[in-house]
Amino acid sequence: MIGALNEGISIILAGDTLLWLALGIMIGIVLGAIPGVGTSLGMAILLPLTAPLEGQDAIILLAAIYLGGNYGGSVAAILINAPGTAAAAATTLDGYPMSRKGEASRALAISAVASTLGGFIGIGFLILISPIVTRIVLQFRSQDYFLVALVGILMITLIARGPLIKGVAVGGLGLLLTTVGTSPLGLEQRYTFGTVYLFDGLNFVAILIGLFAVSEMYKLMTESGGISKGEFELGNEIVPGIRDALSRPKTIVKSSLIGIGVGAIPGAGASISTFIAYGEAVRSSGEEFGGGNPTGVAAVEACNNSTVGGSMIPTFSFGIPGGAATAVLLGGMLMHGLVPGPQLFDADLHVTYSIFFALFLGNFLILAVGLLAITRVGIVTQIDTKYIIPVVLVVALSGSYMLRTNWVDVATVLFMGIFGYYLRENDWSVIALVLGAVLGGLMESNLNRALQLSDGSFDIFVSRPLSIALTLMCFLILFGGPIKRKISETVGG
Amino acid sequence: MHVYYFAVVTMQRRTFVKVAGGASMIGLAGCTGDDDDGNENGNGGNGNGNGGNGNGNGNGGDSFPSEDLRFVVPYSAGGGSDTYARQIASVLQEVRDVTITVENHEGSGGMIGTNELVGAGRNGHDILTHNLPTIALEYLQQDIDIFDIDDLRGAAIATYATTPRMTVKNPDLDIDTYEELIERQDEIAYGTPGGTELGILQIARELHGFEPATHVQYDGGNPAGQAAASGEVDVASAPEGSFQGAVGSGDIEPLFTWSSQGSNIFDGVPTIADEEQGGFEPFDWLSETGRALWTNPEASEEALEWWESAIEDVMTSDQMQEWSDETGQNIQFDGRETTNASFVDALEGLEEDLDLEDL
Repeated sequence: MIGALNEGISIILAGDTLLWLALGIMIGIVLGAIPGVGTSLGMAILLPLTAPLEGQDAIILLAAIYLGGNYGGSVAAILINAPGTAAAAATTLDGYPMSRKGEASRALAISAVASTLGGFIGIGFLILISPIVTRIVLQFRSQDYFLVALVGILMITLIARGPLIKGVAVGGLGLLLTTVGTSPLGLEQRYTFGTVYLFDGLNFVAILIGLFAVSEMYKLMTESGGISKGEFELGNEIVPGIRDALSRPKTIVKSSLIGIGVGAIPGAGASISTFIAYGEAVRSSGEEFGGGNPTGVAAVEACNNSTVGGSMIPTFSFGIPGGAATAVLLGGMLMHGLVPGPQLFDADLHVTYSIFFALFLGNFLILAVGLLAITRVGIVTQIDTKYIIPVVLVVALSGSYMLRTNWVDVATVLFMGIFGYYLRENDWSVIALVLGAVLGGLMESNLNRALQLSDGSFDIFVSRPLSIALTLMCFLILFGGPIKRKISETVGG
Repeated sequence: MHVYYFAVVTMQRRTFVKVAGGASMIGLAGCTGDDDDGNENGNGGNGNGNGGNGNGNGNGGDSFPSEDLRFVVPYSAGGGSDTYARQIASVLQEVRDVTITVENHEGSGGMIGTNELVGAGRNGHDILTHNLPTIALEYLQQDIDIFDIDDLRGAAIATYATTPRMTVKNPDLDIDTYEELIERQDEIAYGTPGGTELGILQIARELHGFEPATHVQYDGGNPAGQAAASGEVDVASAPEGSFQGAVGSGDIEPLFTWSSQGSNIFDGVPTIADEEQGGFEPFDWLSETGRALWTNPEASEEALEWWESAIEDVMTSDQMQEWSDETGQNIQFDGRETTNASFVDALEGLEEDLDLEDL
């Protein structure tokens, strides 16, 4: 392992690799910050241009775009409630309220520091477990993937504000949205109204753009002035932001580990892990969230960058991408003759380490760019919304069309914008809807597979130690609070 | 009016430029949102690549092409088809001095992209990549009515890569032949990415009596391979490239190929037609996946000839061979006659030999 690590490091330090790393991070940050465009498109455009590069340089360039994009996505999420990537959706929950209070630069500073620390922890942990990572991946079965998604859904009970029944109802609606399209285990068309453009269902990135960015623009139309309603002080907010992040080591470590663990689940990725990390922060802190709590920003940002490392596990070990960006990364690997497989964590471990180490270094650049440049962008919250709204709407709508070149996505954004506005104005949980919409497909396909394998028996969910642990976790999320209170009451007399 | 050109092609060419010892991307792409056999993961963006050289008309003064060209990829960016398309487009620009843009129109198993080609009315200035027989299977399975696939008869240009489908097993499974697999099918859990594999299962049931106790459908060939490696299923079947990494590490073992042509990647893998496997009747028209190109249905003969010649130049170019050497992607060139014949075989074979309702 040490030999492979040394070899990997020497690969990075030789030639132009660091240059490609820096370029990738910068491109990723910019692309990630544009709602709908996202990192996968930028990676796809650059893919053929990487042909002249050495294979590892090309992969590092693409992976750096992915890493930078995961950080960049939070910039628009914090400033205008428009998550640039799905990974940044949870950042809006407390990041945007901070901007509304005039603390945009502080939130951006928290984001930069937490992202960097999350990236360090995620990649560092991945380097440590690399020799056994394939064995870990092979422990997971369909029922376990379902149970992890169920944990995500149950986060509604922790995250959703307002009456729980409303959260559950909206979460159910989110799940229902994922049933549009062709059934994952058959050819049945569901709610497609005979149009081929709905056969693949609704795009959840389009749902996110509508629910967050567009609905917020509708809301801002009723206001005057800038997004920030508090006094904005650029220079004075950065140091407190750094302090906010550094003073929450437990949250950052925990969120980073959640990121790498959940990120390793194919089809899950940062869109799930960030909500789980956020839910865990809500559960464990006992503070008020959703109104601009720095812990909420730190938890999500640490998590989404560490998820990058986690998502590399299935991509590298079995060629299974967790999302669009890792799909393009996989394409890049194949294009450059790097065949994914368990050998990347065995005989070719040095190759894998070189990529991981590059990402580790990339986090330094994120920190520098984040603190020195991105925090200055907080000034955007001072601009009158009559200028902001048209720009965001145009970018959001054109970005949504670019997702799949499908007008259904544009319609989804517009409809979800209106629907999201209604939900928020009437105290329904938008987050519950998002969780349902993000997790529905993963849950349905894995539940069906598990039941096929068990011939319809639910015993499969307690058939192996890992499944039992995850089932137990679901019960604890649901009933842990009441049980704890009951015990306290009993003990207290 | 649609023009059919079967008769005018004078020479059938099946030039295997390179059958590299490396991966075919078809299977791997199955889980990257590409491909016939996988539900798409994530949301691949719409890629536009290969910025042109500014010269729309090349080809020594011929009237075709009269405008810029477009390469329609019916799958998401980054997948196998997309990677091949961008490479082919890049070399095409060099060898023919033309401008060609790659566009992804993903969705519905490639049918949205196919509709884009059929309905574009660009007189041969578009090409589409799709797989055989998958293009026909997706059309028929989904009962597509936004275009008529028969319009594409005669519009196929070339086949540029072929991948056989293979079955692998968990190393702990003590079965070594297809015959034994059939004998013990009542205890077998069988993982596939669906799609064409469903057709293979149906034909195998009818021809050989193979009907595993449990069939589980995954989101691509790679997840099916992982399921076999983890022991969730006993065996998995998919395009062979899906299994390359896990076979290399010993986490799964090749059992046989469905195609009588054998494997392009792995040495010594038997086929179902081999005597030691039981000498079963193969059905290569379904169990070999060909990557092929089509142009707009209304394309003129001049356009079709231009494309066939251009794609041959590309696939036999040094650049493509170097790319194939470096990446391990297999490349080949089959011309219009062979590809159109395969397309017709697929259309008619699927309708005649498969019970689509039963898939």
